Amino acid sequence: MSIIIDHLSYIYDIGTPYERIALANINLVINDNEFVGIIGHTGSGKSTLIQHLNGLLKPTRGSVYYNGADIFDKDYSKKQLRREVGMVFQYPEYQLFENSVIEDVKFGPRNLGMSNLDVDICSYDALKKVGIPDSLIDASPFKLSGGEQRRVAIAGVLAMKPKVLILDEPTAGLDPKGRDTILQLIAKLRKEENITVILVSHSMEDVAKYADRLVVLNEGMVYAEGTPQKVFEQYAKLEKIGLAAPQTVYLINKLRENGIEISGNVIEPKMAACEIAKVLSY
Amino acid sequence: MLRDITIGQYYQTGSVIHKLDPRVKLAATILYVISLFPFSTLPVYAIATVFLVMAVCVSKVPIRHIIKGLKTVMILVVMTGIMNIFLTKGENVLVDIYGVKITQAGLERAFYMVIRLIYLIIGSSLLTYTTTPNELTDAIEKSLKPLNKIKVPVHEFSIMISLALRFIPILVEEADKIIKAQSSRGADFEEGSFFVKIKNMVSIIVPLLISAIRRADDLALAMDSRCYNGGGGRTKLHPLKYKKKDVIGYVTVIVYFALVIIVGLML
Repeated sequence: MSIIIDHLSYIYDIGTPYERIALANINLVINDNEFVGIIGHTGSGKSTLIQHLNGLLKPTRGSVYYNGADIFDKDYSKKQLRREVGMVFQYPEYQLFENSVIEDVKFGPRNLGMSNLDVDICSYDALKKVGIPDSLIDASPFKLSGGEQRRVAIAGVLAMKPKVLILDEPTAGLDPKGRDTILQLIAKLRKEENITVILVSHSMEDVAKYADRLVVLNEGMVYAEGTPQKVFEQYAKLEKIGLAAPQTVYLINKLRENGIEISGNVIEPKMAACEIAKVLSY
Repeated sequence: MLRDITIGQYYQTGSVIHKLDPRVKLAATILYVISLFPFSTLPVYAIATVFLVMAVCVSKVPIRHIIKGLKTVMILVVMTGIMNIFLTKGENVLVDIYGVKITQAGLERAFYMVIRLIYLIIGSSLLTYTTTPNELTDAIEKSLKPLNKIKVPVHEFSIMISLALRFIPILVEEADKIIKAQSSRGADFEEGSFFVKIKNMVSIIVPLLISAIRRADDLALAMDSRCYNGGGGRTKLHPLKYKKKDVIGYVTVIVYFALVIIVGLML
């Protein structure tokens, strides 16, 4: 049970002067219940890559296998795929269109042909999970704040009960508090629902804390891959393509250079604080 | 899927036609369109064909690309052809199936109508293939400038046209994104009952409309904060100036037009 991306290439506007290689020979395996962070610059191919995973884009070469079946096979049901692989787009609040929050959330499950009762249960459940209070359920989605709108849009995907959740820059344009709320929500969902999460971001800090594995894309190719620790160890390599490891990694390295012993792989501020406190207490 | 709309999208090849003054191209297109109407005779259409083929060859825009652009309006062309075949009255009836008559006049008219439409579309899309929207509005603005004297707001019109053109690709991209987002939520735009289809269309149209209004609002604010106040006293970074090749362009078009008139009247 996993997603296998097999020798996938994608070329935009093939046969025109605007032809551009977006993805070149990508090979990746995403395991069940894994939290994968995909990182790269604007134009590195992140969004293009994830749009293949639920069949929105058809690869120029190569294919994607979901649970062993080729999703670009003629007989493969896209509807079934989209039920299992949920996708939250960049700025998902821009796709809200209904009169009330609950109606908008119901759009997805209804399209899947669930019974009315199931639609209701899934929708209320999803709204509860993203922390939308009952008082807002019948409000117009356009009257909510930006952060709330985004959570409603995410609920719209969660209500379809996906087994894989793909999120494209879910924290873009949010303040730090809104960002933390969304990321914690995703981490919690993954734990409680046993879902696979693929998080696209250009912020190292965002993914460092939550992802099991990072995939760094650059110019349509996999540039680095591995656990966050392993990827951040190569921060010189990351800097070459204009990315950087989280600030904490730099701080710890500076301390080590100056002869302060800090054990273990420390990539997030809380852990760093604990380790530094240990050193200081000697 | 929306990316496939190629009709009218600028296609850079760096040819001589691309480098011509946009006013020349605008005038040439208008004259060409006019030249297709007064005469429906073979010699005139032969000249029009030669001229169009020449223009396409010089522009270096691939034929494949032009045909691809033509596909989207083919239904219109075919419909027009069919209408003309069956609805034209004439004396020389060729086929008569239960009162539905095909006359020689009908066939002739359909033939010229279809060719005229195709040439019209190719001719005018050649203008937009070789001219950026900005150049085009510059040309319109400059050509219509005399109308300023009789209080026609030429600059306002031209800025409206250029903004509208500028927003087409942005809205296409936006629509593409929204369609993908709603497809991910299980929306099906091809199957299902009529009611379901309408409902699913609403899920695209409402967000698209909201985003268009939001963008218009932002743009107005951005223009305002850069002290945009209309046409009065504005100068151009690259003012349009005729060069030698533009004169050659004008001469070529006028010779073509004269030729069509002469041949049309004589033969």
